[in-house]
Parts: sequence; C-alpha cells; structure tokens
Amino acid sequence: MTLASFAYLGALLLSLGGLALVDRRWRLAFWSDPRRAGWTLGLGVAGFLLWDVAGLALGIFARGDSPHMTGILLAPELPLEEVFFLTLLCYSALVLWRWFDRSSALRARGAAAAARDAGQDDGSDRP
Amino acid sequence: MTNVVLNAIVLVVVLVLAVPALRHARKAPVVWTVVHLCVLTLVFDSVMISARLYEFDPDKILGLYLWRAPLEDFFYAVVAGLAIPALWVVLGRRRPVGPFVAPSPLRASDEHAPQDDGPSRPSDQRPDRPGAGPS
Repeated sequence: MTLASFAYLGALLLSLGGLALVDRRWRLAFWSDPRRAGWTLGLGVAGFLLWDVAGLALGIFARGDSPHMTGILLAPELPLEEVFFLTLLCYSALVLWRWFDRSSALRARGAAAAARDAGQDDGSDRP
Repeated sequence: MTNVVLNAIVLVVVLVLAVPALRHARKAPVVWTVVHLCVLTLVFDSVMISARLYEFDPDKILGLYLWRAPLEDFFYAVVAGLAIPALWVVLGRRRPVGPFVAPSPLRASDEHAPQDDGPSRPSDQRPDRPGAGPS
C-alpha cells in the first residue's frame, strides 16, 4: 500500500472536514442537534449501502482498478471508501438543506415581521 | 434488472416515505438542495469515473451520460436530497429524549420554529431578538 492508495480516502476525509467546519460555523447539523444529526446520517448511509449492495449483487457496477484506493473491502466489490463517500453525500445533503431551510425561514420571518409592522398581524409563515 | 429499474424502485419507495414526512416543510429549500446535489454529482461523479474509482457494466445502464456521469447516478442526488431532510424532520418529532421514545403530541408544523438559533443569523430583520444562545 503506497501513499497514493490513500488519495481517495484522504480527499473524502478532507471534504468531510470542510463540511464539519461549515456545520460548526453556522450550527447546522451536529452543532445544532448532534443526536438527531447522527441518526439522520447513520440511517441515510445504511440505506444507501443497501442500495449499493443491491447494485453490486445485480452486477450493475463494480469496484474500479484505480490505484488511489486502499484496497480494503467491506464486502466483495464494496471498498472501505464507499462508506465515506456515502457519508459525504448525506452530510452534504443535510448541511445544504439546513442552510437553505434556515435562510428561507428567516426571510419568511422577516416578511411576517414587516407585515405585522404594517398592521396585518399574521405571525406564522405557513398556513 | 438494469440500473435504471433498480433506481426507479428506490426513488418510488423514498418518495412514498419522504413526501408525507416533508408535507409541512418548506418546499423550495428541498428543491434547491436537490439541484445543488445534482450539480455536485455532475462534477464529482465524472471525476470519480475518470479516476476509475468504479465502473459500470455497459449492458446494465442506459448509456445516457451528462459529461461522464451516467444518468442513473443522478438518482442518488435526488434520493439524498429528499430522504435526508425527511429523516431529520421525522427524527425531530420524537424530541426531546431521543429517537426511541414515544412520539410527542407536537405537530410537524412546529418543526422549524425553534431551530434557527446561533449568533450568526445571515439576515435577521426582526426588531426583537429573543434568546440567541444555542438550544
């Protein structure tokens, strides 16, 4: 195993670290509700792994011959790196959605406050 | 079974489960998340396939590519963008102790109200600023 065989895993870990910094800076997921974030990602990754296993069992895709992977397999044709890739996919989805949802809530709240100041008291941002 | 059939089955199952869970959630942020994940898939799936990290059986995919990413791989982005917000919403209904306690009478419409805390509001236009500490 050479240094190059850790390139993909290293890139995934670096990306996860970057997402964690975004998460911490804006308190989006683990820095908002760690238990809930952990369960969300855990169940999400487990579901995607089942999907992967189905794809592998059906012979749809297989591990490539890249020299940039460790070669450690969790199951036939299922590299260790896939778990980290799926975690990155799910964590990206969570951080993106939490950010967009919060921005949307703040805009709605600002609009509701403006409406309240104008005299039409509603207060809620949904029906 | 080809890849598109497998992925369509997964997408239908996720839609059936996630859409009711997201009934009371704001729609635009979910759509926007899916769009961003699709763009990320377009770029990084192409890079990963170019790097030979994984490969497809050409007989089991449609053969439609966006850049180098097979059309089928975009199902992953759509499913992640639906399932992850749905899981977050569903898991939050069972607050405050943890995921395996009895569901509280809180309605899903209460979901988003108390979450927007922290000192870093991008655009807080409210004149009053109640408790800005972490929840």
